[in-house]
Amino acid sequence: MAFIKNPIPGHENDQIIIFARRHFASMIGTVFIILIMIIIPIFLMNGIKVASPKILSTIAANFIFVIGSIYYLVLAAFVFMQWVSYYYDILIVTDKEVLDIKQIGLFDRQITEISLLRIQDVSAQVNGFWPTLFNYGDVVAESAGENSRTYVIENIGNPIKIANQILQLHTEHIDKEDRAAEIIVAEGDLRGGYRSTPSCPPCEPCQPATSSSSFASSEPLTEIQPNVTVKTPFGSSSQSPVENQSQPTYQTEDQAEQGDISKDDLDKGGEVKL
Amino acid sequence: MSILLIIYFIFLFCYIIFNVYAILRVRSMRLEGDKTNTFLAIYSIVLVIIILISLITILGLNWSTNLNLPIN
Repeated sequence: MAFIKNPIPGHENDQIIIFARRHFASMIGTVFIILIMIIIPIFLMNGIKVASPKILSTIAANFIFVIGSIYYLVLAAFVFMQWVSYYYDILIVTDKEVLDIKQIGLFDRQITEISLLRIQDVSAQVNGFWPTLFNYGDVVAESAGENSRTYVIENIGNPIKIANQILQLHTEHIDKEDRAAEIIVAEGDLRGGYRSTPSCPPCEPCQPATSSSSFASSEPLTEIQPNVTVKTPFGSSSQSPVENQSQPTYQTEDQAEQGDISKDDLDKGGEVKL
Repeated sequence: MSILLIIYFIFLFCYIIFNVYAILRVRSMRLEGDKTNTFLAIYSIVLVIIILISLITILGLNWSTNLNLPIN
């Protein structure tokens, strides 16, 4: 498919990774109807010839031929429209986005562009006898964000493989753009293989990490023990509770300065007066 | 009966104009490297064949007779 260029202005130089048209099997019903519509007038003419042969030598023959001519011309235009709908119904996946071009007849054309970064979920649906037999179906892509939308790319061949490829490209694109941290923060959850901010400096609000290198590690999800600063009568110390196995001595509420965490605060079950 | 012939030719005229427009529109939509030109050539040949056969058949019919409908 390297010879086909991206049809969207401004995206001509994007690298096309997947180029798929609607599967031909989705047109089986239409082709069957067209064949019937071609054959029906021939059978009718033969029926008229057999039933009343003289009718074709009268003025009625003029009507029959004129209407027959109009019928076949309209049928040819119908076939043309169906071909346009089939041939220009295209899915293009580039290294940056997914383009879904829906063409219905000559006058209805809808082009949807979805950035690979915005794709959240991609699924494939193969429903029915013919889709299962010929391995075609729908690819459903859901975009992320507040204005989340679901995009259905219909009647694409091998939809499971294409859905997998889109998800893989999505992951690769995120890694390339260093956007993993932003997406994790935006989604508000942790994904397997990633972990949250590796170290949280004391007395600073947690900031999302800007580099994805710390997130791209394939280490298993582990609970991270933050360093806690504890005010003791012997001075403040900053150390991990895991490392410091000895029981620290806490201040009472009277001894604690404003903003510090005292023993009484800890006894209240996490309720801290600052 | 000539009125039917006139209606047919008006239809044919509109049909040809519509198809020229459709072909130009599809050519503007085509992607670089696809097979649109081949299909358009096949479609044009089929249209010409249908129109030629229709014209040869229809113009060979007798259009001078009236319908002789029972209207006074």
